Amino acid sequence: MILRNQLVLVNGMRVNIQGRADVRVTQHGLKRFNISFDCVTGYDASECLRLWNPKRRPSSGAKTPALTAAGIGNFFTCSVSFLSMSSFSRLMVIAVLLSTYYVGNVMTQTKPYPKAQVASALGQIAPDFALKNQDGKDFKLSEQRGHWVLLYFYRGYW
Amino acid sequence: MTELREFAQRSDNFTKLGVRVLPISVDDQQHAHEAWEKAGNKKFTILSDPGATVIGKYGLLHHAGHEGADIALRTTLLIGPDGRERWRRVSQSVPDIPTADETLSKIKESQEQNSSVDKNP
Repeated sequence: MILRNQLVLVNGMRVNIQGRADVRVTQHGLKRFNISFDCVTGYDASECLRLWNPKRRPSSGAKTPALTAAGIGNFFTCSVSFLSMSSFSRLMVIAVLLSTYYVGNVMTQTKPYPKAQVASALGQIAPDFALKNQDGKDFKLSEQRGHWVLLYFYRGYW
Repeated sequence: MTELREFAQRSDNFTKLGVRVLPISVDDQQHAHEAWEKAGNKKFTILSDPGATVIGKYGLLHHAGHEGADIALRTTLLIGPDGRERWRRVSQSVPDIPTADETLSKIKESQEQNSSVDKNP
């Protein structure tokens, strides 16, 4: 499960979910998970972890200059046993994971794209170009002169 | 991919208007071929612009738009028989996708304007 950058409320405290959560499911059910997250400046990361798992200390943690410079407090990666947590903590973890996953998707969907460098070139001659087509054959836009052409720029990488 | 598939399903409508649809992306030739075969249903010539040079030339670059790589802003851009740009529609966000109906109607509108200019130069 990938958690994107976002702010969520954990017991009324703002927590910035930063990294990825690896939820391991065994034949006995949900056993362990690893989650990386950081806290918004002003809050102590260990306080975040105490809320997540009151009985354990974080297994590792580091303050990175880059994150500090970016205004983000401590960055922690913790690995805790799901089964060792109290029922309340387990519910909290599941609720946060599900809500952040959902909210992350919504935020990604509605996040605006950057503005085009050229919003319109109405009436101007479209720049000519030569590219390869799907078969590796040459294609030149200028050879389409005399025809209506719809260039359809798509995002690719699918 | 959804819109490419939809455009391919409506390819007859584009052909009737005498429009050649040319999808372009940063995908390499292999992926362009895959898109041509699957989503495009072999209806359109698909162009590969792996360096995003042409995309940049048209001012439609989305810097680091996909895992740090430059890609195109989703755009439909109509060029008339004289080689001039007639309109462009640049998507503003992920769900902002041009539909075939909307695109066909814009094409008709541009062609009507074009013929009225030809009749009354």
